[in-house]
Amino acid sequence: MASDLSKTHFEAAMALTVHDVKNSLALFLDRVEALQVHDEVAGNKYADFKYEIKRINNNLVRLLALYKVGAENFALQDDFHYIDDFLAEIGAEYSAVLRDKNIELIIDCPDDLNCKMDRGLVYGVLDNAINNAARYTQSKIMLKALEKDGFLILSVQDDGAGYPEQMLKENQQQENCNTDIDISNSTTGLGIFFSHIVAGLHQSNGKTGSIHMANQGDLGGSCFSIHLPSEDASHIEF
Amino acid sequence: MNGLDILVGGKSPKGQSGSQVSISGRQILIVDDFSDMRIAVRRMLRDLGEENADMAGNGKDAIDKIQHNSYDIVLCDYNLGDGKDGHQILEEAHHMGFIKPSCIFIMITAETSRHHVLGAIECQPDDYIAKPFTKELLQHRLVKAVKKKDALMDIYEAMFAKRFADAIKIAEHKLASKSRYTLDIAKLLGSFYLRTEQYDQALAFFQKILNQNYMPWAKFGLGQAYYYLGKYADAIVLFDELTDECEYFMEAYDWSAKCNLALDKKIEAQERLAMAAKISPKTISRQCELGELAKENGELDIAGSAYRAAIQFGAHSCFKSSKEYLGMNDVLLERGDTLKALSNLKEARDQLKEDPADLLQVVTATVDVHAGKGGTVEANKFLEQAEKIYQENTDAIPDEASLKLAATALKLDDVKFGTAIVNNLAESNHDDEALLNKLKAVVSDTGHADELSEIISKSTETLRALNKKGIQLAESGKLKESLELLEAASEKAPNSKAFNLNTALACIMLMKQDGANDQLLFKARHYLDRVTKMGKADKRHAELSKMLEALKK
Repeated sequence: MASDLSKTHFEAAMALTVHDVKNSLALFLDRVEALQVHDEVAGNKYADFKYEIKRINNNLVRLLALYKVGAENFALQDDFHYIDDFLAEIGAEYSAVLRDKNIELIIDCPDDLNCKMDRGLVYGVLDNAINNAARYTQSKIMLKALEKDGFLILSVQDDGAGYPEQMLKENQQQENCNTDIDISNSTTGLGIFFSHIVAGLHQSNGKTGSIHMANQGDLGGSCFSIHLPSEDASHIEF
Repeated sequence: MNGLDILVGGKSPKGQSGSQVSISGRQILIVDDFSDMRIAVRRMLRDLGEENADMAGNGKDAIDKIQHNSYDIVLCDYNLGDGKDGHQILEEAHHMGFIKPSCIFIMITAETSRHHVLGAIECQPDDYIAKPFTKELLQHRLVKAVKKKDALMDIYEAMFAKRFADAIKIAEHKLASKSRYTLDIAKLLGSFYLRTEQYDQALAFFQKILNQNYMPWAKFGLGQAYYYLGKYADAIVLFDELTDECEYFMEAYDWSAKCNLALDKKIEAQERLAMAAKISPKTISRQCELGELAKENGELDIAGSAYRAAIQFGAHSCFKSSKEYLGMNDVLLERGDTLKALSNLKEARDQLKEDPADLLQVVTATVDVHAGKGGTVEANKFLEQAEKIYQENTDAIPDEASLKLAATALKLDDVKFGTAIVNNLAESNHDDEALLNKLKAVVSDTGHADELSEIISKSTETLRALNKKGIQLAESGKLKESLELLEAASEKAPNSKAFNLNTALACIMLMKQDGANDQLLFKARHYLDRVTKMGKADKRHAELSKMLEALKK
């Protein structure tokens, strides 16, 4: 590769490509929605389309974010957000798709909970977790938020069979040893890798965000959670 | 479909009450350069029960439509190909007063990250939505934006009417009780302190916030407060930190450059602008500023490429001006490349033929270049063209351009035309010592210094006397006579700031005495607008505008 093709060139090319693909996806999504509206026996046959469009898009966003973090050209776009609104928005986006798949989406979040975070990145983390949950759940997915010990805990839970023991063990080992996460083996690994990066970028008052995976959640199945250092805007005095 | 239920509820009380139709009848504009995308968004809105959506495919069309329709919602794509971007549309529409306080402006972007320009607080979109989005997401965001607008409506109304003192009072009151919008209100309030020149207050306000939690907007506000308080070095530190933290914080580069300039650090200022221009090359005004600075710093290559970028990106936009071409002209002449200079000016004449003020400046420069290389015939040909443009558009020509043209005409010994310009300038600027001094300097370089100086003093004295008489009449209570006299004088010297402002004042005083009426309200507005158009609006102009607004109630 010629040395002229610098990092900035690559980044510009990447950004333009993402922009273009996003336009295509937006149109594709529109066509699918239009078809669905006019198809009285639509049933759930369009759900997969919409679901895959979202996946392509979120993968792209994730790739771009990871590239930027790697290129040290990254600034956390963190700001205060109300969590009930954040989850309601995710709920609005997913509930139709999930309903088509006969999955019920439940949101459990106290009023007035707010936190400083990079909304786009945390969205990417939850999106990944919801996609996973949708694959393994029986009938329900829950988005839950609570504040505990100075952390905001956002979790995605389901009523499926839970994570395989082997996966939990590996994840635990990686957390304990702080080793690099292996992303070579599967896309699930990539999603978890991304989640760890995002969590780690959220730091405040000596606290750092983290990712946790467990079984036997509130719905009996898997429980994926991201813990973010809690910063509450309502404490600010003017 | 159930429609944007909450949008119906959120409408002003004069909406169609009683009949809870599913279509809430909001006027919506969709702006996207991609026609399939416009149609897609319109279909989404229809699914949500919103039938009244107009569409615009470019910036000019968007501004046109915004001007002639009172939209409740504007959904605007940020990236509009080669023309304006979404932010420029919002700024321009706002600047022209086309956007009402209740209008919800949503910027649609390709990326989730927000490396967008911040701009003035009034010119910020209510939300950003990243593509691609579903109708469910659009609905959620619209509902959210409506709720926020409703909660802060009284602040927006005061802000849009430029009643900043009221806006501050309301914001301070609202800030006393916590709500979901506390930080939004704080951001507005801080900018109002700056706007009303309460810099110490602004400084304390932003500092207090930053002591508790880090927020870039508070740091940016603090930097501005430092700047206005003359603490340039402190301000530079903050602005530079902001650009280090987020390289897309374009205003922070501009402000850092501004502070460096205030300290006469031209090299440092140039560096900041160069960084910003590299990241966001399409902003023509910044490229011109960079060119200007680089030229002063003797960096002709940098100046040349800045002007070239400005010319390139300006060619398809409404932001093109003579500035970049004239800057390029200076660079080329300094390099001794007369041929390239002439072809640059030819391109400029083509590009700027719609705007007499810009065109005149370019034609004047063309005369100078031809005269400089001894091409008298060509020079005179273009001087004739300049004269024609000047005669037909005298009111639209900025003083600086007239000054240059006067110098050029006198140099070519066209005394009649030169004298006419000098006379016009003297009459219009009888109240502006700085400009009169420049005019005297221009005249003193010619072979007709004495006659022309005489003309200058005669014109200025006549008009000064007239102005004085108008004021005296007003002071002795003869308001109607005063208005008559000042109005006549304003028509004689339509570019005189003093006459236009005094005529507006006479209208206002008359209304204070006899009560407001439409004719005088209109007249006062007309004279104030003239001053705005000339780019000479100042503190006094603002005070008069305020008095006029108060009379309307």
